Amino acid sequence: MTQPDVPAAAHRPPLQVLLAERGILLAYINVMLHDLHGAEDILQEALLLAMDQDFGDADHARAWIRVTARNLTFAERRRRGRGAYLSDDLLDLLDTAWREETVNAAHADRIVALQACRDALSAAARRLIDLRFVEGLDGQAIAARLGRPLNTVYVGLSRTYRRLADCIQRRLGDA
Amino acid sequence: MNSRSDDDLMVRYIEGAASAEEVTLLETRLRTDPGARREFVRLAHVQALFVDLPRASVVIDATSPPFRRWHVARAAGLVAAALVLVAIALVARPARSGVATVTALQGAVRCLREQDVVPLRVGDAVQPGDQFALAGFSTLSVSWAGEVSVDVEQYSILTVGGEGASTIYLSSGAVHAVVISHSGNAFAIATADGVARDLGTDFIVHCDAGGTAVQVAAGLVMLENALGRVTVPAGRSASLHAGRAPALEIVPPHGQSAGQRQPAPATIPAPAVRPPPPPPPLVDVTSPSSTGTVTHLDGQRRAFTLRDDRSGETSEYRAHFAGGHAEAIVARIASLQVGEHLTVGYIEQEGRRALSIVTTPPP
Repeated sequence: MTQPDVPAAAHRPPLQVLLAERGILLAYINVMLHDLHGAEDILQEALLLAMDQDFGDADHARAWIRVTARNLTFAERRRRGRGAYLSDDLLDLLDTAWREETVNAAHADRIVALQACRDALSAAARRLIDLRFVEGLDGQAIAARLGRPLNTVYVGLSRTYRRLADCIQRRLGDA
Repeated sequence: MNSRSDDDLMVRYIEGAASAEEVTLLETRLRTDPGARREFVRLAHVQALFVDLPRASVVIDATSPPFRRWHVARAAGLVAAALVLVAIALVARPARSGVATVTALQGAVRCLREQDVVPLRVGDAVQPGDQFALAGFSTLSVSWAGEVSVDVEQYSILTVGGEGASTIYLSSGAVHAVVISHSGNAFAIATADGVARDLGTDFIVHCDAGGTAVQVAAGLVMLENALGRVTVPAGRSASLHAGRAPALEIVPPHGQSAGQRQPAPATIPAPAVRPPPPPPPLVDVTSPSSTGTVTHLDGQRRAFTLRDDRSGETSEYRAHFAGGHAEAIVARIASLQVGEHLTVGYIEQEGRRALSIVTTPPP
């Protein structure tokens, strides 16, 4: 039987591992950028560059894409100008926490869990989440829309994120 | 830690709303408390998950069983449309001669070409060796001289083969291939598990860490790897796993008895042990199994309405998009045409329920 010459890119289970950890990679980038859509672009570019790499194993791929994503994010930050960000050494200090978070369930399972948890939120919390992620409003715009103080909006988002994180952990059994 | 004010500060930072003084305060807290660092990462992770969550509510209409419906994220289309605008705004390279042409895209689709990351637009040539990694809500359609059309789903990673080879190397994700004619070599989709080679057909290949699944809508597909070969006819599915011979899936849709199964073509050689099937597409559809005619397609190609041949009743089938597992079936729905005659049922695999769409002749 003749088979096409399959290039290395088709033989890279580590790439699939990276895709399965897409959510945490987006979070990793967003902590350095404060822009989820920008984080998506950077992750896409990092994944493209990853296709040209020969990874020994999944851990190698994880380490490589974090360094690459970090470099791309810093380049994007320089292009955008100033912002208030955590220092580089604090980002290094967070590495263990990112690794611990990575060992939990795959991205697709988390999305399903999040959907169920979101549906179980109170009407007020659900409204807040919809304004933030369906309408894409930032805190200021949400505060204006609801006629509430800005701090109230962030307190509400904070409670809701934590509630969702707890709910996801319960559903995935990884609490 | 985890006091309320600490959480608030973390979320203000994650949302990009923290002042320089607040960032300093947060940094001090994170530096001294491993528990705070874990909580910070946990909250940041939850926020990022929303990028891939359908943008609207999922509602079960429990008042009208058995026609309960999952209503999906219509706003996902709006997001996709917005991303198209972003793509259009990107500086595109002029079209060059290549093995194929981009015929449609959604979102900001880029490829890696000779170490450069290149944004794509409709009409661009696809070069041998081009590599693609599609982001969420991005799709790409590529045509090989009008003979082969391939739709690539979001989150897919693939490489285009060399001149004359008409081969895609799929590292992960899902592609839907429609082969109209051949002027040269057969079209093939290779994964780490083996090769799907068309014999004039319409088929979907889904590849992830669990293996490769192939669903054939029309014609024939030959699956092969170093351990064997199997021919997959229309309406059938098969799986490919590294280290095992290809194998047909033989589970019929609900309501169809074993005696109604189509005969399984021989596998050469027959695998000694049936490999476990890959995870099925995670598609939640609660309308009943039915055979009938497609009467309506929604604007976003995520749902269709089927009029049952016997009862004349219509049911809506709507794929509940759920991340990387559902691409294959979503791609199948996107390929449907009004007037097409189908049998829609379900496949149970490892305790999970997946939609099965099989083209059938009209009565």
